[in-house]
Amino acid sequence: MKGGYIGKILVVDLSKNSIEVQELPEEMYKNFLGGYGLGARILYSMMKPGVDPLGPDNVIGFVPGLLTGTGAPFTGRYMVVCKSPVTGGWNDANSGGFFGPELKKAGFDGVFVKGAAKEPVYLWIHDGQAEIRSAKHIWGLDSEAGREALRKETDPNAQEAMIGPAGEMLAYMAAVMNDKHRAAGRGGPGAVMGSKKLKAVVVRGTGEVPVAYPDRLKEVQRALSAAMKDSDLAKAFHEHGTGAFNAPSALSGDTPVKNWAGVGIIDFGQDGANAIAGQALDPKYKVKPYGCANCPLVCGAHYEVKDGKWIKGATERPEYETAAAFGTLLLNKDPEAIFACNDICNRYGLDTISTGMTIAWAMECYEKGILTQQELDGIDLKWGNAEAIVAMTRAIAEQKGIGKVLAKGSAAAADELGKGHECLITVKGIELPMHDPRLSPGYARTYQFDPTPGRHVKGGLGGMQLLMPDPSKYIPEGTGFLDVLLTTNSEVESCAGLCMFSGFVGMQNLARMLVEAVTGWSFKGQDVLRTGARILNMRHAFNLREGFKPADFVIPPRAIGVPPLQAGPLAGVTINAQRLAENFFHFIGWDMETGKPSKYSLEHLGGMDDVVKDLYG
Amino acid sequence: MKVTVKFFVPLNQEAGINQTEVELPEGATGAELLDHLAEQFAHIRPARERFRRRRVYFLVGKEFIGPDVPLQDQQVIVLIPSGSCCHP
Repeated sequence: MKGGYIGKILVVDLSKNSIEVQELPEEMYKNFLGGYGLGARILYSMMKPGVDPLGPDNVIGFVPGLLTGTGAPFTGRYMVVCKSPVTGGWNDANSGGFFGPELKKAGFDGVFVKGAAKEPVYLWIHDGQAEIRSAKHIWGLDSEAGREALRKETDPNAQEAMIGPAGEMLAYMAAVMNDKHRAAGRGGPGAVMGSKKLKAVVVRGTGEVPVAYPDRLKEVQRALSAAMKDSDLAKAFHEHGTGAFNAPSALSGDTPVKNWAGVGIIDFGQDGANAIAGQALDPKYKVKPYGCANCPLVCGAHYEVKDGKWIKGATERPEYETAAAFGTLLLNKDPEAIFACNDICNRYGLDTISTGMTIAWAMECYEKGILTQQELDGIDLKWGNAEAIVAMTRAIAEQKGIGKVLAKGSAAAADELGKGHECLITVKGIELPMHDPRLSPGYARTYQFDPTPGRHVKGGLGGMQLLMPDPSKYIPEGTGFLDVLLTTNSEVESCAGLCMFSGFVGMQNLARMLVEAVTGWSFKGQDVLRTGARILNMRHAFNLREGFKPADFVIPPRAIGVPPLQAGPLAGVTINAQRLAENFFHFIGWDMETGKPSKYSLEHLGGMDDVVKDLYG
Repeated sequence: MKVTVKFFVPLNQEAGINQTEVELPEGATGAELLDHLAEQFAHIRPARERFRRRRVYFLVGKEFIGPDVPLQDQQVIVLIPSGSCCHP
């Protein structure tokens, strides 16, 4: 008996105007689950190395998690996979909302799009049917107006993964948006859609995704409900979402400050931290909560700005990463400026992390005289200047003047302008997110060597260390096994379609139990480890085939305390990133110089015969 | 000696108050302060667990001090909760 998956994917060739339904064997799901695991396996087969990320030979996939659409709790996620225009390597980006379940209910475990259309198009997928439609009349619309227009001409309950104007204009920081304000943001998937002239994938499904053991699923759900009733954390998270930690993170050293060169308590202060605290903002702006499909936690919120300087009316509560990137990082203490930047990014379809980080880079360059006010089109980009931050965000979104250069991200902007490289906080061209490895050293390894570098949502030691004031976390010995264990576990959670916040309810092995109940497979601890390792190796193999080596992934010295900060909670801290990497590589079985996984390891994991052949002949 | 302890958000929500004054023996450290607070807040689970697990940073003025540093009479200590949006 099968469950969780439909067994079919759509393969669309926009150059040939063709749509093909392909069936996948159960083995594929057992090996790679769904989401970016399945996506990595399929893209490795479909693509050749060396293709232009913004050319027709790149393939972009929209892949819900294995459990997405089944009604299993926390499983509203889908992932967008492609070759990244930012890193030139493997890319996956993850989003919640309602698109993923709708695609499964429409009868497909994924949609893969190759080629490029001559004129703007969108895909309309509904209950097993699919067609390519013209999008000429909606090209240029933002994520809100685009959603309304698409629903009007398809189905009022349709869900969409779409690009805004940023993706259409090929901004490397362009996100794929769904539900107006949820984003598969990182690594430039929106630009890849734009390069294919693919405005949106619109889906409507009324089918059911099979569940092997509905009674067992109900049992897990009951246990989860009981655990949540007893969880203070779940209650707090429901109330303020990720914004609950805007303020303490600004001071504890978690949030980077002044493009990673500042100190929260000195440069931003308690007043700054309190000004952007979710606990302070919610009573004033929160209208109602927002939750993704099948989420019992409901951690999002709709805001309303009554008389704002930059925006008025309905908007979304910024997530922590956004509040940090447009707030603490830039010394901006004006929450309504943060809302405005968030709103602009959502409407135009921009990744808020990379956009905030790119402005931080430009600010540092401006303060140091590397960039002049004239070069910044007259914008006085001083630390903390809320007006300037909103103006620059808008310039990037509209690609006006300097905004056109910055829309490619900080690393590409530095290359194009021929300066400012010393102020970059990027790995392989992508900006680091808002958790500082000097506080949680495990993030150094994750940011540097996950196949999608610069991601806080990938597994590793960093997240756990955020809870630990204990300085023993800085000892870089014996970290490999736990690092690999947490990383492989994260791979499975993500590809099963679970939100990373499902871990907050204090229920052990939730992903594993849900996989067993939904699919009917036996899925024990060793299966989690093997499956997670297989998915990690598959993504890694994509990069190796592109010719990447570990030496190509360089973490910026500032992010690991070289030189160390002189004040604040991270004063004197330097991370031994090399040792953390060596420990991880040793346990996962990758060669430190070539990056190659051992042949034995690949053969033992299985499902990657072509990778073995490519690497070992 | 007497110290003033301020609970930074969201610890103030967990504890139900913004600040408290605590009597401690001379030379008591931050770690001992947390032991005291864990008892004082034994009836409030989130705060109690945070103190027991020592998931806080000690801020005095604009300086962070370690849990083994002796506190001083009349000192104002701001307790900043550890954790983050990803791992609260």
